[in-house]
Amino acid sequence: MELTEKHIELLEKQYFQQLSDAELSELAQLLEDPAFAEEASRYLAIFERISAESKAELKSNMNTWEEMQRKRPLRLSGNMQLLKVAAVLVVIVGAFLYVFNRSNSTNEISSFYEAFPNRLMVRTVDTDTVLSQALYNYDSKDYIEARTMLNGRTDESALFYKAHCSFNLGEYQQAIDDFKSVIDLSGPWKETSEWYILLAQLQLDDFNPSKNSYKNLQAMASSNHGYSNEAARLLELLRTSK
Amino acid sequence: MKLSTEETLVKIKQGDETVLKDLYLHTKPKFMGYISKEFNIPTEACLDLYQDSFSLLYTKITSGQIAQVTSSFDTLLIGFGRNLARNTLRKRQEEYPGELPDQMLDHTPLTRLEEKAKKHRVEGILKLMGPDCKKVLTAFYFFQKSMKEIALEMGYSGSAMAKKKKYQCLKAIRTKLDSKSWN
Repeated sequence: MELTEKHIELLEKQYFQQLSDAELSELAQLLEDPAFAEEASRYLAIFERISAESKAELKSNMNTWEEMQRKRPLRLSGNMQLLKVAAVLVVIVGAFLYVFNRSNSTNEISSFYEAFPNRLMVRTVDTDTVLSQALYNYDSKDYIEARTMLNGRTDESALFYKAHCSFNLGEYQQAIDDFKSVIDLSGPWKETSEWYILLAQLQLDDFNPSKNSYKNLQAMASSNHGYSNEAARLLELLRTSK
Repeated sequence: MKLSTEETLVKIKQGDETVLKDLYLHTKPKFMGYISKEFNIPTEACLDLYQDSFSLLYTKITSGQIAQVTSSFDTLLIGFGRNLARNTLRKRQEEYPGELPDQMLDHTPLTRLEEKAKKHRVEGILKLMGPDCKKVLTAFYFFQKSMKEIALEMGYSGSAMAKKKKYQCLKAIRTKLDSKSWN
């Protein structure tokens, strides 16, 4: 049965709940006819679907705005800009003094402390948008935001990269705690986590040969550990930089 | 440049997406703070509630139901959010494991019509339309704009033409859906 424009108007008023009493009884009477009722239900389904899909499109726009805001660099106020400049100066002076007082091999040592690459982007994160966004921040060196996004998660990948965020921020004790959680899961990142715990501990102990971390490095260098070559190389660099 | 509440309202009604986006991002933290604390709900559920509240605000503005804002957009949104959260909680509490006895259901021709409509599954309907039809039908059924406003936006000569276009689009979509299976 084909509905007329007037029929559709009645149904629209029903949809928006704007029927008068007279229109209500007119529609109720029309609905006595099963063919009309069937066709009317299809039009009503169309109205509802248009509205639902429009709302879904709007929500999708909102998610895009959220995404854009997350990717936008932070804008700092005037005072914050001054603080930023001061912080940069402190870092430059600190770095100069550090370099001045250390031999060249120290630079090679620092290569061990470069950010661990993001190896998950292609493999597993397609459906995990939080992890994907966190790793985007990790790649952009926004370790604070990345770590915030990964907080509270207990899956291995999230714990592993959260630990690296702390490591890259120089928060070595926190990094050690997080890497230990990864080791507890006995997954594929176990040996890598053990290596980074050792690196973090060496930093905390200031590479002091009398400390356990240095002895652990010596032990790892002569073991079958997956990072024994790296351990041996670091040990050699530490010896020559004395 | 910061817009006044009145200016924001006008811009949104005119379809200014930048202003809409700014309002969305600006009001979100306050809403999330209030609602997640008051109803003790996780961030993801709270964000869903915020987006529902914001959609409601948007449609109320476009439909002319909100013609002026006497308080602030924050207050309005938090009010919508509270109502939506309470409704959700109420619905959850009212969920009945078994079917209601027949005599408790109000079986009128209109409730039967709505029940039947809900059973039809016609997904991807917006993709079946051309851009003009999509604009007209979305403006009418979702944004609840008047025929006069739709005519103005679409550059039609008047509301009669907009009405005619809406009818044609609806008929076209109904015919297209005939080739699909209805439940």
